[in-house]
Amino acid sequence: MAAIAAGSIVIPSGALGVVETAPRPPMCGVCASAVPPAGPGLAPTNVVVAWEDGTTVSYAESASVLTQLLPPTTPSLLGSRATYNAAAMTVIPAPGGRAVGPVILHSGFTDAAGNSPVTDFVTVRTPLGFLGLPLSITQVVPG
Amino acid sequence: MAIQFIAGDVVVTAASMTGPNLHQALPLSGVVESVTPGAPPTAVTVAWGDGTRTLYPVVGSGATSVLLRRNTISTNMLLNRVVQPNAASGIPNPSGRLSGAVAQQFDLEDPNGTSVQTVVVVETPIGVLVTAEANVEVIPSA
Repeated sequence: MAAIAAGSIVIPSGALGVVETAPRPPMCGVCASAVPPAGPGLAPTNVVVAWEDGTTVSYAESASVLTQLLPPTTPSLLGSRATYNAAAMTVIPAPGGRAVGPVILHSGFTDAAGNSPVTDFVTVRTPLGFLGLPLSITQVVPG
Repeated sequence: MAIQFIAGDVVVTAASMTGPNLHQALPLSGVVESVTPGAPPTAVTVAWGDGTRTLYPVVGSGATSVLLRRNTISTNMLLNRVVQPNAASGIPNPSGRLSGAVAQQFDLEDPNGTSVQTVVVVETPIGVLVTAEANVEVIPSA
């Protein structure tokens, strides 16, 4: 995939923290302008993002702070109820169904340089907040 | 004839118009306060509905647009109707969680004045769905 450039849809990498629950879901932005990477595998610099809340931010270095959103690579789980899968639950507790909720975001993604990971991610709206999960440790819950 | 952004236009951020993932708030609207004419225009200052103001040195056009002009529609007004994603949309709707009332509906144009699409903003039980009008159907009984 290509590195972030004008028109790319991005989210803050900081919103992708997994396992922990965040108070709000990832915010979308569109890249207004960027200085192309100096070489293959490198991230663009001076990336200006117009966020959906009307703010703009210029990122001198984008490598670790911005993530590109792509369509999901598997059938979308949007709207399905989901939580950790059984394998993950051996190490992550989910008492009282507090880690269960509807999927509000399901996307493929790449880093700022255009390198793709091996799994999609989803964001689950739980009673406690917004849970970011790699698709590989997500399961749909009936209901 | 396409008309580029001018002062007084009502705009939304292109980022708030992305879909079909769900947003958690209705799209913020703003008014163009000043603009440097061009194709596309540059140095667009927007006074947002929350009282903030932002200067956009670059607003792009087409697929690189970061702002979109919203125009009212004159036909097929769905405001306040309850709708759901239709079968052709490809948007999943398990247990009807992506159904809801239409809170906003408008035509979108890019900064060059090129028509983009008509969108509906649907308040669902789990978030705000922004999608093309062609992707939804009215639930008859609602």
